Amino acid sequence: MTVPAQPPTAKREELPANRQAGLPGAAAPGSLRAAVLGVEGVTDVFPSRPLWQRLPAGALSLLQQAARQQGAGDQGAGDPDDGPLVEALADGSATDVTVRIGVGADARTPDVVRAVAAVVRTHFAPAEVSVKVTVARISPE
Amino acid sequence: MRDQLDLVPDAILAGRAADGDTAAFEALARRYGPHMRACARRLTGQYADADDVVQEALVQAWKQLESLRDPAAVKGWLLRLTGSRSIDYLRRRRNHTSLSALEEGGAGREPAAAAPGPESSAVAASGTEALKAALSLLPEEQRRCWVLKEFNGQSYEQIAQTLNISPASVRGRLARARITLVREMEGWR
Amino acid sequence: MSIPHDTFECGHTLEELSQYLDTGDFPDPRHLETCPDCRNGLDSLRRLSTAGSELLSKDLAEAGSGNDDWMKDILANLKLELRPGRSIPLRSEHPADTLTETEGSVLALVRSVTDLAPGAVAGRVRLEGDVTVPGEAITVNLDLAVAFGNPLLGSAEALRQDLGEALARHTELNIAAIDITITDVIDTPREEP
Repeated sequence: MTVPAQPPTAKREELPANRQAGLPGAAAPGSLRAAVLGVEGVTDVFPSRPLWQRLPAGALSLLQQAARQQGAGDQGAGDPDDGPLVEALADGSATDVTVRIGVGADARTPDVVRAVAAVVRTHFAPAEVSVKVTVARISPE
Repeated sequence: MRDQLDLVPDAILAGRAADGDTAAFEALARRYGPHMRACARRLTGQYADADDVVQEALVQAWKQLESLRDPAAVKGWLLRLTGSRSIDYLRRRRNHTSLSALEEGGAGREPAAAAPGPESSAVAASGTEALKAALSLLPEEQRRCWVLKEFNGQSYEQIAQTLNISPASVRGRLARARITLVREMEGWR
Repeated sequence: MSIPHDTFECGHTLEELSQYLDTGDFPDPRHLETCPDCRNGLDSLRRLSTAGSELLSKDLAEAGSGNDDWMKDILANLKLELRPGRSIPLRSEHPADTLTETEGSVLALVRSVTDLAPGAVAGRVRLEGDVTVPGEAITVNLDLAVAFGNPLLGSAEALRQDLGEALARHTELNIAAIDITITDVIDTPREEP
């Protein structure tokens, strides 16, 4: 399963509302998202692919607000800026799970990231996954 | 002092923006947006077009900020981008206009030069009104040179780049623009 | 389009005068002090220049403020691509995992810590060295603007310490040095005590 590459000029609106559903565990991305948000120090879960960073100026904070409001939510489908927050790709041998997060300034980022990786691994168990966690923001509050 | 970004010198804001700080970029946009808008309005003729131009110029600025060698010169740079995007905008509009004019069987019109009106410098209420009236009578190419020089403070070389003509042509057009403007305003010669 | 009579009896042209006003270049500068035609021409061109400045001021006032709705609309419509920069690795407990933080997030951290220091605003931030290789020696270069009258030396030392602690907390970078350069002084309106 591959994700079609978007040309660099693609507008955010033109990106497909892509939800990866190739795995049993990934069928409910909302619950994984909630699990990641449950890790202490995680303030945000961002759309997982770098292309989804194409946001209007100022929308980042809106997105974060939305993420906070939906912190305990189940799907996050109501978020207009919502891409696949947690992306899982299987190529037959291994499964990659990509998560992009924001971390609070009071936390210790490396510890938070390792805790998130562990939570993701537990979430997909017994399936074996490679976890990619990227911190896209370290925020003061 | 983050809440005081509006007090911070250009170079600091431009440096932060080049590093990816959207708040600093927005502070720059607020600081020089009115000047960019005024320039684009004189070049395109109306605020609706000017706002499109300012938006395009800001998008380009964000993408190219890292290439700005002297961050303290960000104001002139933003105005040059505004000038270039305005000229592009006029070219697109001219193509569009002459196409529709062709379809209507009419002659292509130059919207930015529209509405010179019958008013003359003699009845104009003030110097700026006289200048506005005289400007609207200028040939398009001359008016562009004049606005880029007087509103944006661009050098002959920079204007030449923006308009894709030689610096000597800029010098000539600017001089002819000024001669005509002075004449219109002062009933000179 | 050629304007007739744009050459004076002295042989100089209005084009030359126009260029002189912009660049200061003129073939015979002393002539300008004595030639009535050229002086009249220059006066007219200067009056035009003044009218141009007045028109610009008027247009600027008409264009409004950067806090008006038209600018808010433009800013809301901008689609600014965020700049993640390089990927900075973090140690993982599982060999199959790839854990990173973006350079952009670390630059933003440096800015936010700096901005918390009294009277200081961060400018450009550079991480010198290969941040993608664990353990590489990294130097942080920070441009700093300080408010006028702020005691610079003490605050730079305290700031260096705060930055060191924040970077140790949030990264696994091997920070060799934090170089702070004060590039600007900010004139702030004096606050009443």
